[in-house]
Amino acid sequence: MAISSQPYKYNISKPYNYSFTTDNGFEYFCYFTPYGEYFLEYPELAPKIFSFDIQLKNTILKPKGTDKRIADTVIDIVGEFLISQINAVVYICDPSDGKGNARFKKFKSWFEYYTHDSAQIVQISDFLETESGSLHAVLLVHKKNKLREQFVKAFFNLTDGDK
Amino acid sequence: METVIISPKKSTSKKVGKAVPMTKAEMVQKMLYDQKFIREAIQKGISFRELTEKYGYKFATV
Repeated sequence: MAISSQPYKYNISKPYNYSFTTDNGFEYFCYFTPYGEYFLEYPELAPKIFSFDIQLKNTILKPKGTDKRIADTVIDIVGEFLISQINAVVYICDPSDGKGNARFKKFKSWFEYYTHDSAQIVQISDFLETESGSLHAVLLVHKKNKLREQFVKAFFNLTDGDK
Repeated sequence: METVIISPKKSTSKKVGKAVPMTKAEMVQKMLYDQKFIREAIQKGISFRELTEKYGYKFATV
């Protein structure tokens, strides 16, 4: 089944972030931060691993309902970041406001569209153990990334916890 | 109104000696701390450039 993608037009605010505004006037920032410091055991991979985050600029007003175009836009931005087949992205679902599980479900669903462009992206999810419980983490890497298997191994090593 | 942020990343980094590997628990703690710090900073109107130059955070160039 073909699913049409209708991403919002996003701005590349060089040098560090993307931004877009929804039909309802909500502005979002998207950005990637280097995660190499957490993968020092993998010197070949470390410079190529980044975290991703999306953030509403103004959190006083909350969007209501579901806006599928936000998902389409995030898929576009992350897809663009991964299309070089060099980098990998780790998404940590922030649990601090009690919405970690909801974040995980939403983010995971964004990359599960059957015939969407995101089908080019492999998605692996696991848990990170913390003192206050487990939290969700997701690895995204392009299917044709030559280091794909190593990224997956490194990700599972991270989520394995202290031995 | 002046924005005050406690414990900026830059001031906590070790400047000498060999880096000590973090435990997994410390890694997770730091991931969450940094994520929260950046989120709160952006909400307060701090720019990405300022987060980089003043607080020592790094972002992928786009």
